[in-house]
Amino acid sequence: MSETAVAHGHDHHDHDHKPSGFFRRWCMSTNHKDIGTLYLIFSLTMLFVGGAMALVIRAELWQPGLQFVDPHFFNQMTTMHALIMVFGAVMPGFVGFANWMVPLMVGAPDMALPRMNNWSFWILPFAFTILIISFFVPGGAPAAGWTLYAPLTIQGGMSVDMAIVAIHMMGISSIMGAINIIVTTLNMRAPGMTLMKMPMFVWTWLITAFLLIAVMPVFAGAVTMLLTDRHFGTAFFNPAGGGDPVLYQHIFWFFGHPEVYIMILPAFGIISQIIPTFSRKPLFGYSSMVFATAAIAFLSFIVWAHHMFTVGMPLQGELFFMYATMLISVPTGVKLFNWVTTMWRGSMTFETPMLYAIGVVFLFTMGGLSGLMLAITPADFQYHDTYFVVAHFHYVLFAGAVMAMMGGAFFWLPKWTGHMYNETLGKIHFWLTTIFFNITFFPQHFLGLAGMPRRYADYPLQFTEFNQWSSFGAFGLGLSQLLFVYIVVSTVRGGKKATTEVWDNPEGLEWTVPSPAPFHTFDQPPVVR
Amino acid sequence: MSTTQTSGIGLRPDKLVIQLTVIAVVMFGFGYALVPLYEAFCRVTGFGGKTDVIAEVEAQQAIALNRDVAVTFTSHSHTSLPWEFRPLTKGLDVKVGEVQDAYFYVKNYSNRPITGLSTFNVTPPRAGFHFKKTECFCFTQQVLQPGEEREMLVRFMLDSALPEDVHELTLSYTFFDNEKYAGK
Ligand code: HEM
Ligand SMILES: [Cu+2]
Repeated sequence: MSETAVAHGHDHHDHDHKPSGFFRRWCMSTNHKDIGTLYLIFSLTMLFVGGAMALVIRAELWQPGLQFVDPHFFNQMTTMHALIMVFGAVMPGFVGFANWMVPLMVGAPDMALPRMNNWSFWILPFAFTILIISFFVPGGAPAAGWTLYAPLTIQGGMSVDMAIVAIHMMGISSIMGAINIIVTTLNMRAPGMTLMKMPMFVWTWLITAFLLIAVMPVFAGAVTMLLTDRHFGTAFFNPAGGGDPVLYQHIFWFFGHPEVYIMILPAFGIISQIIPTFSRKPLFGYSSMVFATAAIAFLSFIVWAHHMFTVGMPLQGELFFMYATMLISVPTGVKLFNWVTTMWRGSMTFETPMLYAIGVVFLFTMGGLSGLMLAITPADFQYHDTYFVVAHFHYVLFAGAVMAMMGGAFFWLPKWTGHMYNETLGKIHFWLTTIFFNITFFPQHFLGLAGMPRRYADYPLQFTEFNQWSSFGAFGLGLSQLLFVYIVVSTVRGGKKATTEVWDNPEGLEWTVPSPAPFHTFDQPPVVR
Repeated sequence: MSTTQTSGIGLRPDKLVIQLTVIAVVMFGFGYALVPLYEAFCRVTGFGGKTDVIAEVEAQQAIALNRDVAVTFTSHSHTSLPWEFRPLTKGLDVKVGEVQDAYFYVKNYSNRPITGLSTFNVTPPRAGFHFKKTECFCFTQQVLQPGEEREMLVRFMLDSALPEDVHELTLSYTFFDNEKYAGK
């Protein structure tokens, strides 16, 4: 990416014209920074709600037999944990980053559609209130797995309907957010900021936004069909009326696989901002990064049935989806090598964001490799629906997506708050998270290979030891996140003043505005050369 | 509403918003379009062990080949349905191209009339396409009075394009409670 230089002299005044009063400032906000903050707080809250559910799961799995919860409640925990993490923690978290950073990175004064931005955020608390209240209706929360497979979800109590309504609401929220991001990047870039000069984070989000618009409506359609199957006499998925349950799986995964890339592409973007900064080199292979991202997004539409190898597809289908899936590792490999090459011979330093970035590159690759193992059709017959799959997607989703967000938070926290976080505590948090993460999820590979199925509250005796490692790690991982909250809160409250640049000669427009970023930035568009 | 700036690709923001919204709406429709698309795909390829239908006359005109295939019949009644449902014809050695009959037995053990509908499936799936039925109880809703029992007929043939390496196949039926959909 070429050098960006900025015409200075825009607003350096101190009075920010923030709206007065809590309600007007936050509930009626149309400011991209405030809304970004709201998204991030929401995401962090959901991380703890979903995390608490994970700890219920791990507590129950500490020993064989049933100790704390009954199997039905256990199933509610796995289902709700996943729904909350996917739709409540990861997706809104990345939208929060986009809100804060995309306008700052492209030199825009705000998001293109500020009023819609307010709506897309404020739908979320209502959606999740509905989802969580479903614990208290007769029969309890949905317990059929986050994939909501029919025909199981055609049975089930009122909670399934509540989940469907909640999914519709968060779908609308994500689509509005995506539209906003696309319009902002396509229309509001500062003069001179051509598409191929945009920071990688903006590129990854632009592509993610298109994925969102393409597949969230498909998911909305799938759950609407579920709803009408349940109540209005249609039979899309109900074999009793001539429907086909396998069809649900196809529609779900047509959404579901692009969805996993929706959750990882913005993480790639964050990593691509952090690594060059602390390697003191421009990102290696910028344009190949852009094309690799686009290629991943495109391929993500033609691999969905790797989640369904065992439903009884014809051989040609199994082969097609196997090779298509493996093909994705080519553009993914391009990205990995570019990151490594960016670090190569750079004058690297290892501040907390960089530790996170390197951790993500390493651990995500492990998740990618287990993904490749799962993509081998005949092997997947053995691994499918075991803990091996659980290990795989936690390597890509926790170590990939969530840890990238943590790294991003440390990276931009000084810009957001105007204070430096405590570097020592940051590093401790990184190591605690990484170590406990691996203690939690690495043994799950072995459990899966040995045949322990996922989504059961009990297990045979021989799995005890690995499960105890996993449960021990999970509690450590959960507790370590309290340190994250502590660091963030104390950085908001005070700390060493951050400079405008924050880091050592970082590249990008966000480092040209003062820290903390004033309420209004780029009222006069900067000039990018 | 929106703050426009000088650069960008020059599309008016409201136009772009409308275009993107249209994409979203179309994709919602696409989710529904997958239903008939999937149906058509399965019909054309025989995917999922779907079977095919032909007219009686056409079947009678087919030429029987000297190639034996062992056909096994299995059946279940879904747990929600208080019916007994079992094949009377357990298995047949069928010549390719020859029209054959198989019988099933069904009884309603409950004290109320119930509408049932049966689904079917052939294994291996790639043989399904060449399993041609001329008559089957599975095409229509079946109403059984309390205690009523019935024998039901499937008339079928295997067409000559059945893959060479298929020497045995299974036809499986499941009866579901169709009350919810009765009269539709
Ligand atoms: C090299 C890249 C990848 C490959 C080859 C791959 C392959 C697979 C395969 C074959 C499965 C199905 C396993 C089974 O159910 O038997 C799977 C499951 C899964 N993958 Fe990946 N994957 C890759 C990357 C990712 C990424 C980047 C994410 C998310 C950020 C992800 C998230 C998931 C999730 C959530 C599941 C489990 C879904 C469920 O059944 O609940 N994967 N992956
Ligand atoms: Cu997938």
